[in-house]
Amino acid sequence: MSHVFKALSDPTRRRILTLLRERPLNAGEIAEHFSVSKPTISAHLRALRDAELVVDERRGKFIIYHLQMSILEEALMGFAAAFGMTLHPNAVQDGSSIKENL
Amino acid sequence: MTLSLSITRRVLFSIVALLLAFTAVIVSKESGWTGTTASKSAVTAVLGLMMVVMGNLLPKLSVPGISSRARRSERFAGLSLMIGGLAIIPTTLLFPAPWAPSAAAVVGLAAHLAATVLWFQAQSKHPPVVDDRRTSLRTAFGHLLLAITWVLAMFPADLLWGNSSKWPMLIGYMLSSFALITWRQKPGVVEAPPQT
Repeated sequence: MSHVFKALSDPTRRRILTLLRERPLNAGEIAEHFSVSKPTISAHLRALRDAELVVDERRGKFIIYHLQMSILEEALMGFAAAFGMTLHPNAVQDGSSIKENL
Repeated sequence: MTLSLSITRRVLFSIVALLLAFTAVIVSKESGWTGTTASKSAVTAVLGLMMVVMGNLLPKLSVPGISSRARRSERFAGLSLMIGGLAIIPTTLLFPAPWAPSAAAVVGLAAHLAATVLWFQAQSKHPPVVDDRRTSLRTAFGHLLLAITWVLAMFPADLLWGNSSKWPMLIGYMLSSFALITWRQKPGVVEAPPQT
């Protein structure tokens, strides 16, 4: 559950989940919506995958990401987005924690 | 793509919870506790709890490649299960004692039936070939949904027709379970891969 809190604490990751709610996307398509680099987006996607909020599927040369959130996880995301809450003490806003890890 | 261990664990939890519910019914029957309002309320509460857990988990069992509409149906089915499960508890508490378990079961059954129909509709739109483990888990989930439907239906049936309703309900459950076993997945709408 700690992975889920950590993943949902970051606004970039929450935005990725919102995008995936519309339809499955590959990493390139997701990166187009952000000003950060593709490796940063990949790191965000890895964090979401580790938290089991998304699943990836290989189609040809692309890896497609699909949303896979439970009802409570989705409610938690809405709650975090509405109140701008940091759900995990180690989470740093705006993806800077990811950049530090790269 | 493989299904994570934690999802498997949660599905196993639901199956174990159902087995525990059946065990509780058998034990209560042997001890002479069965038939009381308290025992019936306890069973509906366990079923409600299971519905909450299953409803929360249901969207996680979805497969990649499913259409957006089917995915929405699955999410709505999960939400319906959760709300139905949660609604059982206040209904049990608010209704007068002899009617409380049946009223709670009817409330739960309405939400459960809606969820079951939506979920089975979404299954027919799943791509025919997915990984075996996920397919097995979804089949197990389908059987759980079916079993809970019939257990919930037994409460109002018992109230209306008494003990004579037991065998028709049991036969109905067996027939629907057999139908589920023989049910074949039809190839459905698969979402087109994203363009780049």
